[in-house]
Amino acid sequence: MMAGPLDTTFIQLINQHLNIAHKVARIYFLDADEQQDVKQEMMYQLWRSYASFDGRSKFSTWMYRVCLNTALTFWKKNKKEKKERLAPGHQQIPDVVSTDQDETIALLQEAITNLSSVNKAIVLLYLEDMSYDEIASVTGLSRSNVSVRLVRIRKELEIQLRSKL
Amino acid sequence: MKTLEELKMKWAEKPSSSPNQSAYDNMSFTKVIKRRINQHTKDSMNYFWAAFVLQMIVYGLLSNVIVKNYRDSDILWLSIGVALLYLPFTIILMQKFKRLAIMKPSQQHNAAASIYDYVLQQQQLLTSFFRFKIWYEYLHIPVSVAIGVILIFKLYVPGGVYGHVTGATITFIISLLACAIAIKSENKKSFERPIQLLQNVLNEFKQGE
Repeated sequence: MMAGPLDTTFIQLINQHLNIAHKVARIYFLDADEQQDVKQEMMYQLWRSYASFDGRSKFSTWMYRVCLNTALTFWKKNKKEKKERLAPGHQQIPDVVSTDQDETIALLQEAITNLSSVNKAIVLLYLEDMSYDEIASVTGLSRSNVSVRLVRIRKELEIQLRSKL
Repeated sequence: MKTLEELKMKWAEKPSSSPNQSAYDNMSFTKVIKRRINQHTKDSMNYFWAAFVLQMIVYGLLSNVIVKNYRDSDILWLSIGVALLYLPFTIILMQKFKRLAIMKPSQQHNAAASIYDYVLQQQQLLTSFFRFKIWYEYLHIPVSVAIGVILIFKLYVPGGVYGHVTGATITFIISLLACAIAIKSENKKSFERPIQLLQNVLNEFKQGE
């Protein structure tokens, strides 16, 4: 059921927001192969559902929604139980000396991977500067619930980061 | 120690490019889509072919038994009974599977759907199919195994089931156990674990209410 030629605008939009798929994959999956696999699945689901994008929300919000939905419902039949956890250093071979900022962000990403599935989504959307209303709309939670959860997430992340920084 | 607000600012300052991630062009994106379509088709067809081959074996054996023993009314009716038992269940099972495997894109991703709604929809869809499958298996497998044992004993063991009650019972139990182990393993891998994962996410939504 391959569709016709790909929409050039769609490819351009995907490329502009490719980091969304990367960020979602990295906080939900520790294994590098699984990250790659889920990113491909995200591209497939984005392509399949592009017709439903009506432009009422921002493309990035819509893409977050599809990527998060894909990550949360993606499982492998033959998934091995034990995986080597990816440390920040495993993510890439540095070609330049990493800065404090890179290290802080890497530690933050690592701390986020320890949160529960829904809280991961909330904090990721918060870091992307989405409003509480937008986060509530993407997740399906109420605005007040998002607010309460973010207070708890802040505390949880601060405890984790305090021990590492 | 930085606050989350400060970390948010750093997050925003960080360049958005990620390691080993190059932009897609038309060709590379098409390649990814084709690969995923093949993967999805393969996953669906694995299940379809397993069920289809099983049906073919059953109907093939039954046809052979009916043709060879059409004068024996007991064998004839038992064989027809198994065929009639398989047919409606197979049709419903395939219809439900088709609904699960070949959903329209608009049904899979409603752009207005939140994460909660999407996860709930996936969980309900999978649970509905699984419930039917379990009901089908509880009813269908013991009856078809029992008829299979009766037929085999009638055809190949002088005296039939009534002449070898213990042997027939042991054969029935062993066959049923073999089926149960295989089904349990497949159900756990393909249904119970994914449903539980989706339920965990839904529970997480409820916890914060």
